[in-house]
Amino acid sequence: MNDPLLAVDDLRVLFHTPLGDVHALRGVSFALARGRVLGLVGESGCGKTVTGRAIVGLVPAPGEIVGGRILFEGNDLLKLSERELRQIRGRRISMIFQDPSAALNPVFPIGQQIAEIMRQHKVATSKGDLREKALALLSDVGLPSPDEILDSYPHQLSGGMQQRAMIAMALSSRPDLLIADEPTTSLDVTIQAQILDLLIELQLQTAISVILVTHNMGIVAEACHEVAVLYAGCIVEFGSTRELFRHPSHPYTQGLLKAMPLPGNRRHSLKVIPGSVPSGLRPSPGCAFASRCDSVMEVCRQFPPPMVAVADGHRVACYLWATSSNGRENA
Amino acid sequence: MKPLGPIQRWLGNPAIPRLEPGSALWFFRRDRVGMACSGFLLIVVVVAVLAPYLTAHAAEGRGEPNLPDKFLPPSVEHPLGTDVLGRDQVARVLYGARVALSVALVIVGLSVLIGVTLGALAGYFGGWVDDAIMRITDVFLAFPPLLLAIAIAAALGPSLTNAMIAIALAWWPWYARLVRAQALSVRERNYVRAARSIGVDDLTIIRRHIIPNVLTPVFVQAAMDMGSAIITSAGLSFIGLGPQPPMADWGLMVNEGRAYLLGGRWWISTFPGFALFLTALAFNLLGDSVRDASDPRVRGAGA
Amino acid sequence: MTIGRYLLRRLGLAIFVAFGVLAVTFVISRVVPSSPERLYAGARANPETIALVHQRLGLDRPLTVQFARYLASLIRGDLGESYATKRPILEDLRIFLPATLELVSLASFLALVVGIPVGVLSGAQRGRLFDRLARLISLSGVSIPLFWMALLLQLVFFGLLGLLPLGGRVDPVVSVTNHIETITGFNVIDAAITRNSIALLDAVRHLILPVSVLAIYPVALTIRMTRASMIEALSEDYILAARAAGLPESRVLFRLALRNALIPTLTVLGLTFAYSITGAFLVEIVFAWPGVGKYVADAILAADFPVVMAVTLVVTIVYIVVNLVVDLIQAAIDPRIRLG
Repeated sequence: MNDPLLAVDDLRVLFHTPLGDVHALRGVSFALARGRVLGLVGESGCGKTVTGRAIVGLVPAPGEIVGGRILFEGNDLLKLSERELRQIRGRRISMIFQDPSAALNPVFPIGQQIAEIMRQHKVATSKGDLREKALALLSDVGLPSPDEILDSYPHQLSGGMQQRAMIAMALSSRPDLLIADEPTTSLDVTIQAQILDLLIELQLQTAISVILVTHNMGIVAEACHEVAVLYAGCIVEFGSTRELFRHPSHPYTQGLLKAMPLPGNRRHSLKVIPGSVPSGLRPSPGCAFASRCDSVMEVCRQFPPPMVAVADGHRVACYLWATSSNGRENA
Repeated sequence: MKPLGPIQRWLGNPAIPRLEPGSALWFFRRDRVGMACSGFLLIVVVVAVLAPYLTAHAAEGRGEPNLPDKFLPPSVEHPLGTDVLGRDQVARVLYGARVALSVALVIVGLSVLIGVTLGALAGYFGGWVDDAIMRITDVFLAFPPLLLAIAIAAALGPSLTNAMIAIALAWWPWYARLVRAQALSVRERNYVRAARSIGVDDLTIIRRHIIPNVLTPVFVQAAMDMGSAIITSAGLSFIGLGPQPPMADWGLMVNEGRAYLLGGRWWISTFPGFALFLTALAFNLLGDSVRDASDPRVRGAGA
Repeated sequence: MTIGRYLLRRLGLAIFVAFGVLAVTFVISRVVPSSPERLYAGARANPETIALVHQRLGLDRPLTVQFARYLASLIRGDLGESYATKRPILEDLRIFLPATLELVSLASFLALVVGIPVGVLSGAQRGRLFDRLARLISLSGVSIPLFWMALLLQLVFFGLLGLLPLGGRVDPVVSVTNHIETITGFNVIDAAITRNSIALLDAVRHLILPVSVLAIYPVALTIRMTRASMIEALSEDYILAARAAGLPESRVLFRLALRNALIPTLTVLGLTFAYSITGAFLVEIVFAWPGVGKYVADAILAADFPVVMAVTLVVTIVYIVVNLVVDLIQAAIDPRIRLG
């Protein structure tokens, strides 16, 4: 019970594009315990989505997993056959996606789509049973008049309702792990809050583990127990949410937090991190953030920074912390 | 930035693609099949232009009979044999290339010209102009394409020019529709609205903003249509509605050889038809490559 | 908008378009420089007869009057008489139209049955051997000149191998000894219904070459279109979601993706039907198949106006109807489309 549900170890992913090989993930490692919510944060292109896809073995061509291990309940998912993986997908590990209108098949009614998944994972078999369970699921996710929704097509539902339906589908087989890839990003702000609340509530009820991929620190603060900050395919900082927000240690994390518009901050203009994310085509030998870092040192450009413990359960990949003995000092 | 050429200046836009990595032209360059087809077609063009100098039987290519030599099977002296009037087939095929290429160019060029103009006008001005042009387009589109071309060609009289006009008249609606859709969306863009508000006249807006935006899909469609143009005009020639004898046209040649096919003289119909096939194939492959190079999805993943 | 209203609206549009089609063909046929009077009266007619014929056929009246008279007779159901054969065109069509439809429907059927599965597999196996082969074959298929292929196949299968007949619809001997009773006009169906097995075999033998040639382009085009729309469908998020939910690949391909890919493919099928109608012309000429194509090709070259007009009208109406049916089927399959 103390073993983590999911342990990712030195995961590396390459994309073979006509312009060259793009290093999407450069040795990502983290662990997730049962019943906990982990946030994967970073800008677009940092590799957070690729991580989620890699876990279920659906990295799209021309991507390729070239190294590392993904241990789910002790088994390395990367060593499983496609057939074995298919037993796990949707049954033990589920995914929900950013744009529900694109992730729901437009030519089938919602009821059929849920039923298909439930039938596949033997949650129910008879027509009556399927319908009953589907109705229960839809009302669990807060959808009004579930019987109407069962017969509706995706385009007939609003964005929020679509997302709820997708969550229902993902949870239909009571998986152990839910990977939520930016589930609120394409929704209206008010609906975002509703969906987030729904997710938090469902997580508390079912004690499901969640990997929440997002670029929004506010969501992380509200919903996640632990946070992993990704930059250019590497984890630059990892720790509990409280710890990370109180003592952001990596310059990138600090920049992210400073860039959040917060009430009360009106006197200062939003701080922007200058520059942009490197393309991943020709990764620099040193720290990926070196070109944008205020506190950059010569060694940062030349050698990749080591992962250093700042406090219990809080680690950061930065030379600033490698040089000081007391982890709490800011350089 | 490279200095703008005359076309670009007229369009008011550096709309012509560049050769940077990741651009459409760059992708096209790397497509081996596409480049091979371009090479092949280039050779065909050169051969067509230089036809008179590439054969000893130029006059026969143009149509002069040489009766004593009729029906000679393929040999070293006449690699593709001779036809019913004793004309060397190599020369005839070479001269036929001229017709085929110019036909394809004229048909596609004419359709594009008519279609783009009408489509841009319809999409940009909207209202009754749009309705009128769209109704006309509907009527033309209601005809099965070849049938309309046949009817028009028959009405105008069988000749090369008339066949080209006929097919162009049957094809322009596709381009009009394509351009109209683009024009409708571009018209609503902010920079177009801004231009109108400061009083830029409509024709200039069409020229500067609408046309450059429709160039890519029109170009892709045109590239893909070149192959069909050759085949369709050959079909018309086969029926007798295209270029008339003694002109060397591949479709016509296939028809001329038809009567002798079963009598053992297979080479008269076979070689011109094969030339048709190869050229159309090259154009179609080229069209595919052009389309693939312009399609952002095909170009490879982001991260 | 309900289906009833939608159909009514499309009907109105179709009538308008048909009117336009008529007007266009009328203008075209009157532009013909050759002489219809000579065709009607015969090659040796003297000038007085020609003038008489000119008046009798109503060709001396102004164009608008001619057009109005033509429309009036159409409404009566009278398609006119052929100048060449002097027979009512409707009668001629009753014989020739089923022959052409036989070819066209078989070719379209092949396009469906062969083209779609190959296209699906090709799109799913993108880049692999099957796909590359299929692409090569289908690309060649759309590049082959129809008439040339027809001639070559004739040469091989009749001239060299003697396996299949040169042309025509029935063997002249068989048409006497085992004549097919004309019920539907489709020889295969009629022979089957009347249990005329010899004639059935004969009819099929005569169908093989023309249908094969005619089907090349539709099959090739269907493969290409299905492949393209499969690739597009497979790149959508809902396919990723389905795979992430653990659904088996066969289901993902043949149910979830195909349903979506069929929608654009259907429009192409309408187009291939139209192409087949005109492609049938060339095929009928080569194989001497007694259908509408040969009928109208002869009429065009002889300046037989009424035939040209009537056939163009009929064929275009068929085309419009087919497009309407395709649109309706599309609306039935795609729940996102609201009629109108």
